Amino acid sequence: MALNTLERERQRRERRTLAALLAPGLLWLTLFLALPLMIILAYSFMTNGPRGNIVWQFTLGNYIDLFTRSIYVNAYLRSIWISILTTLICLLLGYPLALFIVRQPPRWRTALLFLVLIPFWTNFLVRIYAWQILLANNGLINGALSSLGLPPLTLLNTEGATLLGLVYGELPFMVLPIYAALDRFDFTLMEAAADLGASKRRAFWRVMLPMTMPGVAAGSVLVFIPTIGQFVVSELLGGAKVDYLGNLIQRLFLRSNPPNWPLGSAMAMAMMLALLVLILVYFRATTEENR
Amino acid sequence: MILKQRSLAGLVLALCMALLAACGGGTASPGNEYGGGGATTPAGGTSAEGVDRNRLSRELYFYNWSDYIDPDLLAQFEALYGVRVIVDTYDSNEDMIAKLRAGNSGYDVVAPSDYAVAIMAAEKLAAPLDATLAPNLVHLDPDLLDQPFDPGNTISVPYFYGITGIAYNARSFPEGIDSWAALFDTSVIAAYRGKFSMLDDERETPGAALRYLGHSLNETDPAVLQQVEALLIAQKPYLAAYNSADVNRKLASEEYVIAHAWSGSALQARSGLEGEFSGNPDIRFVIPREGGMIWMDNLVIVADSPNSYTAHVFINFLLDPEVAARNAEWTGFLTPNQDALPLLSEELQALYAEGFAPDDEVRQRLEWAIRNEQTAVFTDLWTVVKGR
Repeated sequence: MALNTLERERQRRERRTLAALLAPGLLWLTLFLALPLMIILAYSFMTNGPRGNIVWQFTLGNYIDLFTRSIYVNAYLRSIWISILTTLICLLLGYPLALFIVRQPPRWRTALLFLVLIPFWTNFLVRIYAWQILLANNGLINGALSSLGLPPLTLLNTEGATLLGLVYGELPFMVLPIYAALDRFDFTLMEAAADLGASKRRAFWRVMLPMTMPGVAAGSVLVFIPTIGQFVVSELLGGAKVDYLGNLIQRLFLRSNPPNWPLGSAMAMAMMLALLVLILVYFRATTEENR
Repeated sequence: MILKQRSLAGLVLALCMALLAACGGGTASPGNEYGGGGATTPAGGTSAEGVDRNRLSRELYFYNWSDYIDPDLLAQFEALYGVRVIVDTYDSNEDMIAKLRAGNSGYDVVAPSDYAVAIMAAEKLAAPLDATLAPNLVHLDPDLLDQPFDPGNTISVPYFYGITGIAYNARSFPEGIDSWAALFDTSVIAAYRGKFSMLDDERETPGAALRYLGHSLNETDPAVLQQVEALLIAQKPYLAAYNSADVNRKLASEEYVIAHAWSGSALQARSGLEGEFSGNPDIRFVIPREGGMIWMDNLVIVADSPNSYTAHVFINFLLDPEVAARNAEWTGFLTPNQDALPLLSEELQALYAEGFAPDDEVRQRLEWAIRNEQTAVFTDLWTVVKGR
């Protein structure tokens, strides 16, 4: 009996410690994540007033517009399409790069990884402006071309430039998780596969790639998610000529007259929901891999 | 104003450039030729007479566009009246109004654009203006007073204004330009494909197209807007960019040879922006014969400001011709203060005369953008154009 009380007392104290430790984090998340999200969710069901004021009148109209009006549906499709392209290109560039780094002697490996991380020392916006300077009509690349007597190219303000900027910005997020996966990969398995008669290509597809799939999946999610909401790259390198989802949301909140926060909120919520599904699929896939 | 939205990106770039310039050693802040710093004798014309110092607050919160007041003037105001003015900045009228709507913003004076003044009036966000406390109102250009967004100027006072037309490089267009055709006629613009920009603004760019087609820039007839949409979509493949952020810089560096631009950015392209980029003497600005847009930012006292008296004193101070002239030199925007015009530097007066400010003839061709429930269709039109 006395022991039980003692035990219960200990448990209670443990719970209290746990609560005290968790409280700051939970409070932070509630105040700065859950609450704002709830507000956005609430806005998305409200009516937009004539001056961009929010009228507290429930409507499903924003969501209906979103999924039925082609101008909005197209923005979604465009964003998904460029995000898929960005992810694929990052994968095609990132996997060989990670593999190359992993196969180097240890001291080189650190140096090379370091190089992958160096761009983060500079603000992303500044680096995108650097691309403007490279790609502009009278930029560095066209300057070099003309000094060779070649005709200038239109590089900046194209969708290609947007794609380039996105791939450039997101590539490290693909390389790092794949590197981590390859680092744990036992390369003697490749020799074993060869001994058993598999060609190099076959060994890659049947052994190495499946075993490093969690890294590929993690990298893909890390690249895909920020890309789908981006609006800066398409504005600065694409010349703001084509709306992606992020551009449209930003415009509805800040630039349109009147602003339309309810519709912008609905767009943001729909995007978040789609990404949530994607992440759930990803978790499902990776936990099965690990089993 | 919809017009001066500086994107975050623009700001960051400006910061970097400022840093770079700092490394180069040339960071004299613009305007300090006037002997900034508070304690010196105030410039003539701004006397503290007629001001009841006992009614002044210690501080005044001014919510303003970025880079939109000469900081030396704030020091001068403090030296004169002992009131410290704290400036906070915003990038869009919508941002500013959203803050005021929430209540208890803590701001005393704001600088809404024309249509935003009307919104503030409709939502009772503005305090009444007592003209007897602002005798310097007499210096303002009567043409810019009593506008439809605030008949009788019961809540607002003009601060700066600007016009929207075409900025171009005279070396590429030695004959000059006098029509929007230079930006819309596909048989002409093919020659400078990828070397011109239109403003990234749902009212400005369709507005220019409307004027080109011979309509008011407030026209909302669906049949006409259909034509506007077709015109803008036809123009798009030739366009370098929709750009409202750094047209000035790109004109100066000749990345663009011609652009749909605000007079202020054209002026900056011409004369340079200290610490950021040098000017290009070939830049010209014109309001095409079909007409262009005029807009104006105004000083308004916030409804729940406890410092209304101090706010009036501050507004009256800014309306002083000498103060207004210094402010106009510093910001590069057009002053509505007609008695300030003769006090401007010779260079600036010459630029104004050359077309960077409207004369009486040009004013006939300028139109204000109206915003009401009908004009909300421009958001959709713009989304369609951007969707192609």
